[in-house]
Amino acid sequence: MPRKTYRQAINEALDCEMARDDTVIVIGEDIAGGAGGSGEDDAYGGVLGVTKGLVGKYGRARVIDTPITESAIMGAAAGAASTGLRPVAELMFVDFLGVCFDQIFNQAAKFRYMFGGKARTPLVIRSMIGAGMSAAAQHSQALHPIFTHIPGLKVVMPSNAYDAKGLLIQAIRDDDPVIFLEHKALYDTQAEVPDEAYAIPFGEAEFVTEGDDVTIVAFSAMVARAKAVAEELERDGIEVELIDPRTTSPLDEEAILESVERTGRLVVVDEGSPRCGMAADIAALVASKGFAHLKAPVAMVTPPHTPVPFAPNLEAAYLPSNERIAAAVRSVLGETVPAE
Amino acid sequence: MQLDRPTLIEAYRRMRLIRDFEDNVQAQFEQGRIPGFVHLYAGQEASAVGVCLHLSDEDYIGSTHRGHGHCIAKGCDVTGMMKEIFGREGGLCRGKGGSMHIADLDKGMLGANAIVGGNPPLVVGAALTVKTKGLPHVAVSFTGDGGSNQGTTFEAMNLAVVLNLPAIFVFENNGYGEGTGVSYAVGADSIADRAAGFGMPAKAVDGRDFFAVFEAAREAIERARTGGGPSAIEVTCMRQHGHFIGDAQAYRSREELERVRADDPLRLFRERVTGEGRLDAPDLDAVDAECAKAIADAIEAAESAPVPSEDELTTDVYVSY
Amino acid sequence: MAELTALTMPKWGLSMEEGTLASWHLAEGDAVSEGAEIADIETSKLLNTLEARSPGTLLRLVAQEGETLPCGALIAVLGEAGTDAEAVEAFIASFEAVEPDATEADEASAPAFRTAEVDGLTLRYAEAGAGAETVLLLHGFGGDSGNWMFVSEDLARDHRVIALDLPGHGGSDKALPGDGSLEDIAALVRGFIAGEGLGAVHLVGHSVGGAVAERVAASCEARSLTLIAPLLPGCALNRAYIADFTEAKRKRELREVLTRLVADAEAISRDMVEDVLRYKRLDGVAEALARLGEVAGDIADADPRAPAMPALAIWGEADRIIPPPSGGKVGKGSTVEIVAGAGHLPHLERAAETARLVRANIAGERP
Repeated sequence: MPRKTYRQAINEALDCEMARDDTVIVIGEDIAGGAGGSGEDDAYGGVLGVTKGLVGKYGRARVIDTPITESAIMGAAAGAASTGLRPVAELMFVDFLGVCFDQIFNQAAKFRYMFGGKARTPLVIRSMIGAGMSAAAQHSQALHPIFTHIPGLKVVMPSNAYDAKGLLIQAIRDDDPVIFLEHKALYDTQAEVPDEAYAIPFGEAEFVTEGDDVTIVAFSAMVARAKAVAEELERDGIEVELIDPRTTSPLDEEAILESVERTGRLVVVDEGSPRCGMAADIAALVASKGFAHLKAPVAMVTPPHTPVPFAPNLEAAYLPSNERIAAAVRSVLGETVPAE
Repeated sequence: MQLDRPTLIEAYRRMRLIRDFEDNVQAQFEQGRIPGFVHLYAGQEASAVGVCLHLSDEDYIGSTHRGHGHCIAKGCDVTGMMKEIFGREGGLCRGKGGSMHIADLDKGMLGANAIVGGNPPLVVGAALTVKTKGLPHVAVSFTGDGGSNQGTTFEAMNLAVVLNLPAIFVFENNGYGEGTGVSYAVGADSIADRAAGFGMPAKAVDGRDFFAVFEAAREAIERARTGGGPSAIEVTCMRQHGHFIGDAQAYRSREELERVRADDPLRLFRERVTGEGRLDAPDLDAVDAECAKAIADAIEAAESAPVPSEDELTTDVYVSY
Repeated sequence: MAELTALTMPKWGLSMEEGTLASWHLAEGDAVSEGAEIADIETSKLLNTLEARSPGTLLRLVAQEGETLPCGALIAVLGEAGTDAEAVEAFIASFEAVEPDATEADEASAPAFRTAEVDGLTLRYAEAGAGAETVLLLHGFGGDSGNWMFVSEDLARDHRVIALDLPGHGGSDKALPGDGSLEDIAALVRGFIAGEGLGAVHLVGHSVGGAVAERVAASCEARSLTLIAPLLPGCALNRAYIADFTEAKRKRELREVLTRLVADAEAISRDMVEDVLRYKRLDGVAEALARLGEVAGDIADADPRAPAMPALAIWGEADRIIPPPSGGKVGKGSTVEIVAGAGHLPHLERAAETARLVRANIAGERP
């Protein structure tokens, strides 16, 4: 099985679906790059190179460079989706959501309900999330809870290259608007990825490790951190069940509840802000539907309630670290944790 | 362009149907039979009809919170619309959208839109579908003078020009964005000139004159259908009612309100076609009677329709979840 | 100095990179006869028992139980009883020094995947070994060439072994030939044999692959026919298994379904479930499995009939998918062998014993 990067996996998913279905288009800023310039065409292939090569295969009619105009991109993609295309629109950095909130939340997300079930909006919005590159407050957020909050949207957060390809193919084939959030720190991570097309269904959590002592639920880039912690704790005889929900909407509640029923202990690790966030959401789920099984309070490992800082040491302190995750696991197991 | 009798009758029929629909919705609303809030289109009929007479079900339109007229002009069923406005089963959106969100995708009506400036980017998307699929259709965005100030509208116009899309931006300038006048709120002297600044042909027409709108729309739509890209039309018209039903309109002078009545586009249309001998009064009277009955029937059907089942509350959020 | 033999972590199949020594069957100082069960090795797929290739005395257990080692790593030293301990130590030290190179050498001569174009379809196969005669291995419903991981190495010692991915499976195209009937698939396999110039082969088929092998044997020259838990006309197929396997989309569901294949449910590893799930997600697989499920049902519905040529049929005694024939026979001239402690996958669950039976049939030494 060939090993591929997360970036290649996403590119392949787009390629597979564009080849299979000519109603699939990609649209966004610098998707190819170079339009109207005096130099190379396909100069960027996406700001981090994810869409490189598509314009050469599918042409500018289906790989559409736009001005810097997020509202028009999202609105055009939503309008095109409701009239027969399957657009994959790129929001570049999820932080730019602020300028196109209406088109995603009030328009695309609501067509089906508001129009009495007649609308079909097979739209995918790809966007980059996450800290770790010193891109600071306006280029580093993980805003998945905001999308998850909106009925009508599906929200996907692949944590590895294999999932990224299968989930993006599913997203493109899906008939609802899907927010596909790529963590910028994962683009160079590798996994075994089949050359063929495959779809991973939404709402189905992955059990990354299995264990009976404690359940960790982690999202996106936090999955790898939690996995490293699980492997480290295994040496001390602590068996972690690590769950990667893969999609926050729909959420595989059953997997989480079933696991906590066995382990009685829950740690949630998320890169979103703590207030009204995913960690709080999962904690509330277990508190309301799995309370009887809990042997310890739920621990949440998130950044502090601050914007994302720039200085590398501050940014490192902002993100949930392996040490904080491990300390949270030990605390729910009743172990005394030395003060940091 | 000289219009034949059936086209003239159809133009009048659609305008009359809109007027009767709105007058009756107002009466029903004032009697407390319609929930929510409603924005009436009466007085602007020549704009919706002058444009939509050029369109088929395969062409798209996007509309505004003041959208009943665009729906009717585009061929939406008035009974289904009335049921929707009453919040009843059998409404065009199953009672889940209401006055501000009526849509009928089978008719190419992409939806009234309660967000000012909400539809232009969506219409650009519909035009993108048409262009990508190589179809000879167009997409028309109806926006008001208020919507002409929104950034989304600017972005939509620019993108339509950049991608050379078959999109037409119709700005219905009725003088007010809610209760604030155009002379104050639109910084430019002309919305059409501002649209032209995005790099597309733009015209301003008198929206009281059906024939002027019809001709400007014909030219813009023809251009879009043949690959000539987007255009804009500023249609100056008169809102007969307030921003919403119940709006006291204290911001409008007595003289202006009198002029609104005098400049009624339906009356002007009737006078012109009968004066030029192109239609006879009995032809038009017959249309009046037909429309009055259609709206009366629609109201009766809406009133007697059941409310939506509570099961509807949680359906149709997603195609699958 | 007495000759010492290294016992190394085996490489079973193309994807195996490391194994865990689950348990030793023998202790230091025990005499080892050829074919004796030495240790259980846990792979990412299934547990398998390592057997001795040559006799001797187990002088030193190098690997500890529970230890995970790369393929090719030294796990024990065999030799003559009473060999000097220092010599054993020296052997271990020198082995460790050359071990990485040995692994590379292994990879160079390791089996490889190849592809062939037959009737517009791309078929992938794993090839190993060399010899005058070719053994063609055909896996079952939802499986792939990897199912032969524990027996192909054994057979490859003196044969050219080709494990084919049937259409709709493994690395082959997911479209089925023609309308996906058994005859169409058999015709494709015949085309593969002809196209690759394999000549008369020893056919070994499992389950649905057994049905294919039997049909291939009916229409082209074969040296021998070995059927493992074959789907034969009129057999008592567990249709619920076919339906549930086809339907299962979640890991937990699929794990339960896969445990029905084996005598010991513990044998189904996480990785095996994950691999099958990943296979099932590929485009075209759902359609292929649905069609093959129908084909399997049709075969089970057909009137019982003897195999086209005398065959050896091997069954796990605890097979819950296609139980061993009640009369203990599959037709005139054929033999049935029952393997204890195995379900529907004797070639994975009791690989050594199954391999021995296959070898005997290939050698014409069928009981």
